[in-house]
This record gives sequence, structure tokens and C-alpha cells, in this order.
Amino acid sequence: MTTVAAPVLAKPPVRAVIPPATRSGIAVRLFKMTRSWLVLGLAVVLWQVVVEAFDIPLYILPAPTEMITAFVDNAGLFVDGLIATTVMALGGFGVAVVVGVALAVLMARSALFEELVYPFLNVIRVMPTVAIAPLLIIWFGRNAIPIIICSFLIAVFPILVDVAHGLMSVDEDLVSVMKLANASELSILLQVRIPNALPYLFSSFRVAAPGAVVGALLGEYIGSREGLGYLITVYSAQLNTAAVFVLALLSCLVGIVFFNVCVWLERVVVPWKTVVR
Amino acid sequence: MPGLTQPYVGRAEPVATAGEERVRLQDVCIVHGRGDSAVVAVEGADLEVGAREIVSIVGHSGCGKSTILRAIAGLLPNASVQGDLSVMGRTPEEARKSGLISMVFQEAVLAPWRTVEKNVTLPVEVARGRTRKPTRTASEQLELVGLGGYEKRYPKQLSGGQRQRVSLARALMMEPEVLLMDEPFGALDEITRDEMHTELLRIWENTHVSIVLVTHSITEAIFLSDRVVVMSSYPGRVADTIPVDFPRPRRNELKDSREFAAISQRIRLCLEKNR
Repeated sequence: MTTVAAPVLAKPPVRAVIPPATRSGIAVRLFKMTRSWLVLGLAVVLWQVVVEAFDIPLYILPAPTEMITAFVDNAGLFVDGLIATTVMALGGFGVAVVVGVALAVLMARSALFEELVYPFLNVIRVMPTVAIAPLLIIWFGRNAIPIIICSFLIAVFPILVDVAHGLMSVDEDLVSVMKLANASELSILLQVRIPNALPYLFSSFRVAAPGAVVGALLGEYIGSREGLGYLITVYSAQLNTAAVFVLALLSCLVGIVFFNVCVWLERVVVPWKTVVR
Repeated sequence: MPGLTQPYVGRAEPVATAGEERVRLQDVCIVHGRGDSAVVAVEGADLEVGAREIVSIVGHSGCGKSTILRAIAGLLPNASVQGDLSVMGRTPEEARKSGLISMVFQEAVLAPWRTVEKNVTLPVEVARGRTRKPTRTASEQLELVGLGGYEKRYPKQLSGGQRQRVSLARALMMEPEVLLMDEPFGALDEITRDEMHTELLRIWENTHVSIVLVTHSITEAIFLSDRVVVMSSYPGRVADTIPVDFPRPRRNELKDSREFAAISQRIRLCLEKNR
């Protein structure tokens, strides 16, 4: 007899279907990699067309081809300017890192220093560098020092503020762990606070490094006989707009290079911020 | 005392003890601040922790249980602690200087820029042989906490439970006499927490350490401890001390037993009475 209840059949296990990997053609991938450059190229072409179509005078808006000519005609002079500005910005940035980190350590470790000195630093911070630059030239003359100081002044505060924050935002429990291991204040500073502040230092570079370039340009603009900033004053006085455009682009280039080097350094030096699971 | 017959994983030279007491608090009061803004965090607390004992402190938030731990660790300013407080017959500060005390917190507080191994050896690096030399290597220590082979990983690559194991390995690295734990499993999910309970007991069986544990979980307190200290709030006082006599090793099933529930109820009533 078959009155026995039908045996409960085990449900066959369900298997998930893994979708096959898709792989786009080489042309598509090449396009995806280069499309931002294509947009840039298109913009340049459009610029050229607009300038020629509306017959815009050279001193108002030079066409890209005219800018190339301006660069080729003055290549030696412009490259010298580029190098001079880069050196000044590097100098200002270097001093800003050293002074900024030192002040940050003092501020983070000494309440008295913070109470007495920080208000003055804040005054200097809000004082526009444009206002100080002529003074610097009166004091130091037309040489590298005022330019480096301008560059330094713009770069130092982001570094100071971020590093101080990094030094102070250490987990108090980690400090307790160190104290229980009999760590001295110096050892806590070196082994916990400073490593903790490193990512803050590098993220401050993203603001400080292009800032150092702007500061150097400003210093040159106001009182110098070389560098991109100085060349801009010379060529704008001559209404040589094409050259001014080229010089502005070269200034951008310095800033972009500074920024990207810092981003690259950040990835190399503080990899724990980018460790992936 | 259950557990005393378990084999030690020895230290080179045993530290002389004043009797069997590892931690001793007598009439301890802890006052934060002075004058009108002073706050009495703990008043008249008594506590004794013997060798290889596990004692838990439970109580409402703000009853000063974490403050007691910090006082034992010598992390509070001397002026704020009154009464007799000694660790291995010394002041907390001396005990700390001799490397007798370690602490584990709710968060693992690992240094993200150091590998797991370098995190575990941080106390050794810092001590630079001034206290004592560890008998176990970092790898052995990680093996003990169940993380063998994880030496070169970074904390970010670990789960919450694994990070807390690293934190435990770091705390045990200098082979302390007293391990202070401040809600060590509070940030973990319940399944991981259950797992860590048996793991902590297994690790403890392999060391000679006494544990003072602060927790919000009554279950955790009973399961791990030889005694549970219930504290009342404002100011913090010891309301009752409840012995827990379950044999060791204990297994997670114990948490479902009637005897366990009875102790749990007793603690709960005591907490309600001492709001």
C-alpha cells in the first residue's frame, strides 16, 4: 500500500549564477582613459575658432596659436622665470614645513605657549600678505628674502593648524596605554603623536603647496627682477596679453606639479590611511 | 579557588607579592576638581583582588567604575585619590613603573600606522628593558590570542573582534600581574562577544594575571568572574559583592542555566535598589 506519507524530498541546493566578466574593446578603453584630455582639446579648438570668427583683438583675448608663438619667442626667458619661481616657492614651502611643524609641536605640548603666542600668530594669519609684501621689500630689498617670506606666510598656517590638530587628536586611551608602559612625554610625542599627525601634515600640503606658489608669485609681482610674477608685470605693462596668458598657464603648471607631488608623497609616506581591506 | 591548579606559562622571575592580594582598595574616595566644582566620583570603596582572580565591577553609568580602574592604573592625579589603594603592596604609580599593570579599553586603540606585530611590541619598545623582559615573543603572544599568522597585517585589515584580540595581546606582552579591562567587549556584536568571553578565559588560564573588569553586561560579569562587585551611584559606593562559584573552565551553555539566572536576578535587584 502506498498510504504512507510521501517522503519529504530534500530541496536541491540552489546555486548562484556568477555573471561572466565583461571586457570592453581596446578602442572603448582608450577613449575612457583619454576623454578628459579630449574635452580639453575641444575647448582649445573652440577658443581658437571663437577668436578667429569674431576677430577678437590680440590684446583682449589671444588665440591659442598666438600663445604658442608668444611662448616659443620667449622660451628661454619664460623657462628661467619658471625655474626662479619654483625655487622661491620650494624655499618658502620648506621653511613653512619646518617652522609650521615646530610651532605646532610647541602649541600642542605647551598650554602656556598656545595662550600667549597663538593670538599673535592669528593676527599675522589674517593680515593679507599683499599688505605685508611692500614692507618686506623695504626691509630686505629686492632679493629672494621677501619672496620666500611671502611664500612662507601663505603656506605656514595650514601646516601649523593641521599638524597641531593631528598632534592633539590622539586617542586618550592610546596615550594611557603608553603611560602604563612607562612612556615619557617625549616617547609619546615621537611614537604616537607625531605618527598620528603625519596624515594631517600631508593633507595640509594640499593647501599649503599651491599656496606657497601663489605667495612666491605675489612676492615677485611686487618687487623682483625675475620669476613668473615679475614677467607678468612686465608683459601686462606692454599689453602683451598672449605672453601674460602663457605666464599665467606656467604659474598654474607650477601649482599643479606642487599639488600632485604632495598627493603622491601622501600615498607613499602615510600608506596606513589608504590600506585596503 | 577554581583555576589555581591550572598550569602557569611562567615568567622568568616571580614578583614578590604582599600576601595573595594583587589589588587592594580600602576606604578609597576619588574627588575630581576642587572647591565648588568638585565632584565626588567614588566614596568609601573597598575591593580586594587575589592572585589569578577575576573580579567584575557593574553599576549604572556614571557610578565611577571606570574611575576606579584609572585610579588602580595610577592614571589619575595623586591629589584626587584618597584612602588606601595598593597594587602588589605598592602604590599604583610604583606598580606602573615596575610594569605590573596593563589595561584594555572599549576600543582596541591600536596605532593604525603599525603592523599587528609592531602594535603588540609597542610596550616593549617603550619600556626599553627598564621594567622587565618579556618571555614570550610577539608571535607567541599573537598565537595565544588566536591570531597566529596575522603579524604583518595592519589594524584596518582586521575585524573588531580581531582588533580587540591584538589589544589583549599588547596588554599581556609585558606579562602584567594585574589586567584592567574597561568594557573591553562593549563595542562588539553579541555573537563575537560570546566568543571573546570563552577566549578571554582560555587566555587567562594560560597566564598568571588577575583581572579587574568593568562592564555594563551582567551576563559578562557573572560568566567571567569569581566575584561581582555591584556599585551604587552618586557617589559611587560598593553596594554588594556577589560570589560566583561556577567551576572552570566555563562554557557558554552556563549562561542559560538556572543557577546563572538566579545570580543574574540577584545582581539586577541590587542594581535597582541602588539607583
